[in-house]
Amino acid sequence: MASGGEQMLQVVKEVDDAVREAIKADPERTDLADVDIDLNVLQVLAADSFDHQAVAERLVSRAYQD
Amino acid sequence: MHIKIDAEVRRGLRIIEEIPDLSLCKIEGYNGIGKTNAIKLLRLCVGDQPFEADEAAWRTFRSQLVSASIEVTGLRGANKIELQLDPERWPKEAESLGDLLGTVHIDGTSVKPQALRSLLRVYHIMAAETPLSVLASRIEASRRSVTNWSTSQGDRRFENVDVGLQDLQDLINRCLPSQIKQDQAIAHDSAKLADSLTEQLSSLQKRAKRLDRAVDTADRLDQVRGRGAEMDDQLAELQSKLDHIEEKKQALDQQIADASKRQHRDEKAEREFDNAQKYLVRHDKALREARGALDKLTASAGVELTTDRIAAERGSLGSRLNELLDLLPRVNATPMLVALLKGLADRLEDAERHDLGETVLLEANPELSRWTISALRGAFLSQAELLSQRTLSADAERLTSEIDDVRDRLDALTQATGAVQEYTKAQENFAKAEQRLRDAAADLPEQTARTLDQLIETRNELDVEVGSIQANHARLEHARDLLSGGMTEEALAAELVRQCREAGVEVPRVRRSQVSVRGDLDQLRLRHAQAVQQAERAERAMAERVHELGDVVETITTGDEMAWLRRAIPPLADLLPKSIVEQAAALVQIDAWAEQARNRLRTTYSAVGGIGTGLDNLQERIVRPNQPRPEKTVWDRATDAWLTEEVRRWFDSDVVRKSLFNDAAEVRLKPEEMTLTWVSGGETYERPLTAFSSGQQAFAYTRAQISQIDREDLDVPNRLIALDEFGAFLDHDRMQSLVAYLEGRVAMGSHDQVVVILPLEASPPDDASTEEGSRLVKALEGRGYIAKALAS
Repeated sequence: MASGGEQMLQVVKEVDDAVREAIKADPERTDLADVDIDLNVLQVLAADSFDHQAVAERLVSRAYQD
Repeated sequence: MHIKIDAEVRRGLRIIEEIPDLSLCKIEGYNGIGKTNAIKLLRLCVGDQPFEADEAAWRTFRSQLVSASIEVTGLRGANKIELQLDPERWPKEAESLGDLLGTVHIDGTSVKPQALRSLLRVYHIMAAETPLSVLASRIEASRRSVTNWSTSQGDRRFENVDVGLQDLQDLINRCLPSQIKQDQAIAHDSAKLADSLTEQLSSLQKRAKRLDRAVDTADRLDQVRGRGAEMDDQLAELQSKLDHIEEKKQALDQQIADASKRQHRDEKAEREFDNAQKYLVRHDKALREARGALDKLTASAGVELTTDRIAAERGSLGSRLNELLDLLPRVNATPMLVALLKGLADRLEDAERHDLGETVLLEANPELSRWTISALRGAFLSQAELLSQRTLSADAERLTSEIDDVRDRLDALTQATGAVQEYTKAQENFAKAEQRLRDAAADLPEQTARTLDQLIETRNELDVEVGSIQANHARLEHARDLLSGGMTEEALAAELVRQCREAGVEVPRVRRSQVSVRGDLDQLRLRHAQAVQQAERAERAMAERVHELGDVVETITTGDEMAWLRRAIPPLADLLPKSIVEQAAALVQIDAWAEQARNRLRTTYSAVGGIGTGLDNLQERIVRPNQPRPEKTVWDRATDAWLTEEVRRWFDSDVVRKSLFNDAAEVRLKPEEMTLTWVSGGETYERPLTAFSSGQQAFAYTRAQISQIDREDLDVPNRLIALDEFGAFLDHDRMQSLVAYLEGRVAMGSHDQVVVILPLEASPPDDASTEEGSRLVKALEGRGYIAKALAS
């Protein structure tokens, strides 16, 4: 059985994909524009071997590169 | 796949013993023969928990199954799977069995039970459920995945990361890097202001001294003006009297000489008398000069000058001078003391801000009272206020002036001591000369001697008169010198003009200017003292800030606990040698990145919560469709989109669309009403999910479930799909459509093994006369069920 983190990620990814599909099907649609999910961050947050510094590093690195 | 099950059971539990290796298989049997239990047992073997929502059924199943051996052959990716189950070790709650399942061998090799999932999956589709209930289950399972993770791990992990980033921000903001430039500017401006005021003060002090001198000159000029001539006249008159007496004394000296010549009896006596007389005249002159000097000093000192008085006065002035010199440092140090007290009070105020006001700073002991921080700060401020109220600078100047005055008087007394000694000596010499003359006169004839005695007596009287006039002359001359400084009225006027020009003021305005400048000077001294204190405070604060900032930079650039930050921001490695301003700017930037990171973390994690809530609301809409709902959030709309996409995929099959939706191109879900819409023949159709017939629902549901399976686990080489309890819902036509659909999947290359489980259609089989019929009858009699290929 998939770990709790993997299961959660699977659901979130499905929702994210569905939102993208909906926007792709109707580019005029604005009611989903605020959906903002960083799957990369969520992936390290939900990893089986969780390390809070690794997550912080990913987040700060992203901010630095932005 | 060929599956053999050898189960030891008790108290009525039954499990069928074989599932044949047929890609499309139909198993028909009596009720309670164990068809469904076999599928559930196989699901347990591959890591699922089919009793998850039914604890009672799980307890029964677990207690009635004593042991079981399972063998699976005909596999893709392996030859044989062997399982030996040990239900005694299974958990009492309906949860995943994990390692407690029993022993597992794949091709003879012992593996962990979890390894089976990558080789084999088992799916159990129950036709008794409706598409709506399947949707609800699907939503519930997804919701549980999200919320379970959030509560079991997510919240804590989010908190850990967020607190870690906040700790970084706290570390940075402890040294207030964003204010370092401002603090630097304040320190610079404060120092600049203090320097500027120091220059202004120096300049104004010089001007004040010039004005003081000019006003002093003006005062002397005022005193001298109109009185100078009168005093000069008096001096001339006194000098004239002295000259007149001198002439008289010379005349007397001549008479004495003449008398001596006329009456002389003895040449030797005459010569001696002559010498004595000259000797007297010489010492008389010396005496007069000594007396004149003494008179001047007496007038200057303002007291009668005697050796005793001078000694007493010098002692008194010496003591006074020592007192004044002791006082001077204390008066001059007052601004420094005020600054010190205020500085200490500031530090204590910092402590008060940290709630330490009532903390005892100085413990009581026999020599000291107990002092709290607040009490000590109050005492410091009171003392600073007390000292500040004194006109510090004016006191210092008056003291300096008094010290100068006492020193001048001591100098004058030192000179007076010499003058008194000289005068005393001159008096002694004069007395000796007078005695010598009297002795010489004694050798002269009697009449001559008597005449001479009278002449000498007269001369002495003139000397006394000269002394008196000379003293008056000295006092008057001293008074005139005091008034004019030894200058004439014209010279004083010229000096006043020069001094006023130097001070930049017109002569008539010199006194008003002095008063004005004195006032300005007092104010400037106060401002200067405050500015110096402010500059010292700003410099001290800046030094502390720089020190704190250095500590933070060192921690970030070298601390092991900050290695992750240096990996995230590589240029941090070069931060240490940079300037304070550059370091502060870098810290501000890091703080901003940490804030961005926290925002992204919050946004991302709130998305998980939002999806969980959205799924919760979605399920609520399905279970209670007629309840009023609050306005949808963005996450409600996102989960609606998810459900719409899910349903679209369910019906994304030509067979399904042809069978249920008149061969429509696309079937869509409207999640608000839970209705399906499709366009067929140019006409739009709409129907609630609940409005489909049982057969339609079972077919649609089965299609939906298989569609779901097809989306998942495509990389697993062996899949067993059991379709259970279909007989009650599917009529012949629907069953044929389903079989056609399943055959279509096989034709499309599916390697899944599908088992349709049905109740026995007829007992015994219709035709037992054929070989196949006979086999089936035997199987039914022996095992209670029959298995055969499913075909349309």
